[in-house]
Amino acid sequence: ITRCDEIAKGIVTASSQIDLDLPLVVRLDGTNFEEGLAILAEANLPNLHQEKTMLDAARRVVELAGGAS
Amino acid sequence: MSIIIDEGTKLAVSGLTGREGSFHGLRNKAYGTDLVAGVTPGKGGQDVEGVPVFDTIAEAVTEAGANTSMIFVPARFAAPAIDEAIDSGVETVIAITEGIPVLDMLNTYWKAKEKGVRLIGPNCPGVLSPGKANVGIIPAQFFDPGPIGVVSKSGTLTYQIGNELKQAGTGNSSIVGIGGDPIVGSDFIDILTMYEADPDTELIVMVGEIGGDAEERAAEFIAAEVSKPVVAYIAGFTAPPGKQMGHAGAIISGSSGTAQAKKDALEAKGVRVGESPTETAQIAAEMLRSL
Repeated sequence: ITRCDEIAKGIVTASSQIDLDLPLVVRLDGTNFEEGLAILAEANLPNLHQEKTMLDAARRVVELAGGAS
Repeated sequence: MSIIIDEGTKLAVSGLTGREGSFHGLRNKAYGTDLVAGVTPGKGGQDVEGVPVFDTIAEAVTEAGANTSMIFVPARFAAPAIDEAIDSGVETVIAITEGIPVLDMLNTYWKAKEKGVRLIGPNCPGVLSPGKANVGIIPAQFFDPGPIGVVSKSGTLTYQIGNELKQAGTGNSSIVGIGGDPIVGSDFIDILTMYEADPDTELIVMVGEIGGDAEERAAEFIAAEVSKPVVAYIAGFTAPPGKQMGHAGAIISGSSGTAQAKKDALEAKGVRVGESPTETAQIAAEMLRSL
């Protein structure tokens, strides 16, 4: 029920209001995911890491948090 | 064949005039579901992109031939809407709404049972029969038609498994979201019964989570009554006791309702249990190939 374009807009809005210094790993799939990915691509936020699958995203989070990959 | 919904489904959506109801109702229609009516008290006579709107579900049945009702109505109006659907003449009610008070559902559950109306949900993503009909919020593009029946408490984890099955070259007869509330109209046993009787379903995937004892009771039922192979996934192995993990029903009370207990109960009855959605889909695809 959650729409990926709304998630993407939320991330972009948040980054305009606060300093997003911590790495953010994003994986978008499902309703309106293409629109969501397009919004993120255009915003081109630093510190945003995009992954395609749930497993890759989890691995990336662990790696960025300094754990074993 | 599929279960619960198919090409013969004639759908009336309560809440079709609202933002979410129209988005998902029209998306269901675009998929090929026969959307015959919307229902919003006071808006009878209007239409939503050509779909007639009625004041009551009963009118949607008598005027538009609806046989299935989807409830897309805010929580505080939802139990009365489900009750209205049960009395309207439809065969099946699919309730998407989250946040209906448990006390309301106690009454509504028994009303549906007594009237012999099938209730799916509430707090569920609905039902998808790939290639035939979609009633609810399941993103149908992730699923292909095929011989695997899915029954699940979760929405998102089911989409994950469905997509992996599609990528593995197989597909689904139906996907049924039974919902995440402590009291739901149809539980695992009700849906397993239907899959067992469905000639197009060869293997069943069951997705459970912490809370309650529905999976344990399903394990007993599978051993006694289900001849088709069942593969399960249980969410919540690392959930702390006493904390509601999203779904209202997803809470461990004391030592009961834990993911490990559910896994043990299912494995004791010959059900293989995957430790991740990916592994579960892999096991199901492998087992299907060996049938």
